[in-house]
Amino acid sequence: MRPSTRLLPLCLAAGCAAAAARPPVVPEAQEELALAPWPSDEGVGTLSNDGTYWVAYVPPAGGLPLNADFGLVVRVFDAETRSRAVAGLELVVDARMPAHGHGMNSAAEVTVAPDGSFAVAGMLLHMTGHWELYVDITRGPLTERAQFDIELE
Amino acid sequence: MILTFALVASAGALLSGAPDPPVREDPLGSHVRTLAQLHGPRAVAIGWDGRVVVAETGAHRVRVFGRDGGELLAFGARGSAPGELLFPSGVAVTGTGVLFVADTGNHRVQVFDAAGGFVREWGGFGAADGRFHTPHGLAVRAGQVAVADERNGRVQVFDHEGRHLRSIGAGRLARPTDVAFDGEGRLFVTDQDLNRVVVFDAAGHFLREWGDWGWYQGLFSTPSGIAVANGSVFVADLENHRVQVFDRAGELEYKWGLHAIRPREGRGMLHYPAHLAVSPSGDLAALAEPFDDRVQLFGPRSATQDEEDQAWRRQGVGQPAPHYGPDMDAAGAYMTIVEPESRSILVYDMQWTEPRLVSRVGGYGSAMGLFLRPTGVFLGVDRTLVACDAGSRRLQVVRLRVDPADEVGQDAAMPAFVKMLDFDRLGRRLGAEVLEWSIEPVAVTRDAEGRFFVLDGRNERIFVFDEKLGYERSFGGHGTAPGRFRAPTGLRFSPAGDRLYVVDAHNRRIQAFAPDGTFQFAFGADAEGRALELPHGVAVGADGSVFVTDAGASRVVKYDADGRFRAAWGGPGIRRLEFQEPRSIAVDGRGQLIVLDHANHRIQWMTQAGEYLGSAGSRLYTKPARLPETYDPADYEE
Repeated sequence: MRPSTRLLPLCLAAGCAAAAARPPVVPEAQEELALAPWPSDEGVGTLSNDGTYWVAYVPPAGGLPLNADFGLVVRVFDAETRSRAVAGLELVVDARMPAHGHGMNSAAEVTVAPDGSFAVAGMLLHMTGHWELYVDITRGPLTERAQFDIELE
Repeated sequence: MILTFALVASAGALLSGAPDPPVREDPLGSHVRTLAQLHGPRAVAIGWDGRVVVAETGAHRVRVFGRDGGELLAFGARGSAPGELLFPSGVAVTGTGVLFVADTGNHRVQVFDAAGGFVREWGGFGAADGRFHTPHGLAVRAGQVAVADERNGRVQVFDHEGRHLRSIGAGRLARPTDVAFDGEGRLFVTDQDLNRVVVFDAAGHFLREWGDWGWYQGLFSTPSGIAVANGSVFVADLENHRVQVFDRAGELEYKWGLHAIRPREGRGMLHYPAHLAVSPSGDLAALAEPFDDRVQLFGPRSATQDEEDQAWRRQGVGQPAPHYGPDMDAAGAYMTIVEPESRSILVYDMQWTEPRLVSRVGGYGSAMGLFLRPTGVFLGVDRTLVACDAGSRRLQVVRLRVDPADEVGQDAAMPAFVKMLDFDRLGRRLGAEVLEWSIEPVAVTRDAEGRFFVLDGRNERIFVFDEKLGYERSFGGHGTAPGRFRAPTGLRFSPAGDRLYVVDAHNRRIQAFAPDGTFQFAFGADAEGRALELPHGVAVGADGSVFVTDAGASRVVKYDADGRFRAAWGGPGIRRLEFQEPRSIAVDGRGQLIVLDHANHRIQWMTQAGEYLGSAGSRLYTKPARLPETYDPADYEE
């Protein structure tokens, strides 16, 4: 047998799961679509996990803070052009530390900006370590996740 | 296994440090006696004279016992004719001894006189007022009978003649499983998926609710039974293995029950109490525990009970291990198993002599990436996991970011949730079809083109979605005719992808379909012509052999690709190749057959000829399989 060398703690505590079970903030639907093409030198972008969307966020000036509230600007484009905004979306933004089995101590709020981007408020990464930032994009009955790996020091 | 996740509800409560509530002067909780050797009892009632009425669900009958445990009466047999029963899961008794039975599998209520003679029936499958979809708990009071109409998400109230009076809770209740009246006619309902008690006034108006998911006192994990007596509300807290007692405003008064550690352990230790009843005088409680085929009776709690409980804890017999079920799957080097208590899916690496737990997917919650009640799972060879959440009526697709060539180890970041289909949002109009209910996914599989075949427990249909989760078509529907289903539970494709096998549980058969949904044939008999008792899971080997778990007979049955009986093995018990309510079954990448031995809290794996290879799970449950020479039946008697 091969030895086990990576023994990361998973969530054993009820409180972790219970905290993660809080009701998601219901976002506003995106109505106006006036997004400018994404400037490639700004923010962080990724394909969503099923390849439908190109999702990008702009962190606050100075980067993501440790244990302090912050906000993000999130933009969602179709994956093909990475510049054409997609209509009729709802967004939920959350973050989680998989190795610790818990999420944030706050629930982020998402609002639609006049230019069709999404303003995310109330983010709080309260620990150093590896976080996964989730952007869950809902259109009709389907939700697709885009996720970003964040190493917070 | 690398690590056992001791995610134990009752232990969590004990370790929480929260102070116990002050105990009433007349609490219940002291074990009196056990009614044993019942077959899967899932409901119980106590009459004014102290007689105990048991819905012996697995035997399709009702049995009545005196307070001393002596049997007074038994009636019912499997069937759908008047007086016959199919998995009865609710029972109530009036002051004159008239018995109301929720005939769950037949979706009706039947009434019997005190001698067990059939009086009348009403209901039938459907969503209209007066009809039922999987009726469960019953309560009677002052000429009325209330029925927890589980899959219709409501409580219906009738007079004793069966005339519909009102429907309660539609839109508020998710999965009502039991109901109780108080002295003023208020209705107390256990809402199992949302882990709460909901209270309505006598006219059916909402009054209050309490609870949430968890194991701290006052919280629930799948509350399944409820009773009101002497002004107190008693709740059978199934996965916390305890009874919690509240006042009628929802303030906790006291609780009792500790998780049975040793297999079949009783004498007051609890193991999945599915239902309870309290005598009208409040001095006797009965708890139905179907996994252990028993009903335990409890009287007033002795003054030394707390000390006895603590002494028991100090024996240090260890923690219970994860509980497996109801579904699993295997592909390539990996196996995935639903763990109901934690609402998560366990991922095992199967390349070793023992399965190694390498990650966990999900947890309790309503956000993407979490589950309310995970049921079916499908694992593709590309390590894409598809999970049904019957509680939130969603399908979630997860990519397991692991490679069999990787160094083995636990990786909490392995799951990446890809996408989710919300059936409530999808709605009830699909193409030209208008569904009676929104889809409740209970099992899922995929074909070679990546289509999703979703088994719907409410409409009892199979819905087909393309690889982008766009709706394509459906087939099936409720009924006994070829191509229709009653309580379907599982589905898998043949290796060539030319045949879909579907477990049609209450019709006691496996049905084979072409991929386009055309019915081909059905099977389910053994060499002696005996039908399956309660088939649950299906797997298909590389040579096309079909393996079925018969949860009702606790055995595995093997057929060839055309449904001809080939072999059967097993039987109820805890020893090697014995099973207790086996649920799912799968063939892993090495061709091993893996059986999810649900009520024994273990898996067993074997050759496709039924030769034992190994077992894993709770230590005290796997020991009789691993070390049969140490088995002593006395260790497993109540």
